[in-house]
Amino acid sequence: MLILSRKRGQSIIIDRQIEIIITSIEGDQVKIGIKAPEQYNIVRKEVLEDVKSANSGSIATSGSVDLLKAWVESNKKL
Amino acid sequence: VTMELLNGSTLHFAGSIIGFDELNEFELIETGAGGPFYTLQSIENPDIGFIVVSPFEHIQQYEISLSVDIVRALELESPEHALVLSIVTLKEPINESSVNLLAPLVVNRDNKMGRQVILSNTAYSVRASLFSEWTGGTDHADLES
Repeated sequence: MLILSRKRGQSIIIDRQIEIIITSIEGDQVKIGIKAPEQYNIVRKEVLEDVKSANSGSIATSGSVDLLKAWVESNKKL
Repeated sequence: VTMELLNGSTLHFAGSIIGFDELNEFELIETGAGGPFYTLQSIENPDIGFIVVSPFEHIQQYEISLSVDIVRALELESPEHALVLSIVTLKEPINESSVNLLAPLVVNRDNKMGRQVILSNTAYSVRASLFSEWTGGTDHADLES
């Protein structure tokens, strides 16, 4: 891992196309500006991890499909 | 209606389903449970399948904005060519089930190419309550007993 020191207002450039700018530093929080071509999908890591865990937790089982079936059937009667 | 038209189709996700990068091909099939639900069954791994539903069933005013890159990757010519699916997380009791509105699956219904997309600048949840808006939170009470 590359570790760099930067001050407020300074930036780094990745591959001559992505610029990461330190816009403000307050206590333990840093605001970062990112300029990147549109093909780069930029997300907070915890969001990606959350989607990953939601996906893994969504694998259908025969039991879960039965539950859904029961719900759909009970709803039809209403 | 579009879902029905694609019933039995193989959709190509190119490893974009997050956490399942090794899986590319999925068949969209009726769950057998009826209703608006479909199963997205991995062709490469028979143990992996997801229940999906149109997010528009859930929130009529659901809106997404796709990056130019995704539009290009899917070769989408217009929004009408897109089918949007949300993965359902079924829980017991079923009223705790949720639907992922933040990271929908977007499919070009003509060429069957799809991607899971994480939306940015939206307040949609990864775990929005599946039934609250449909049922008013009362109809499924009988199921629990």
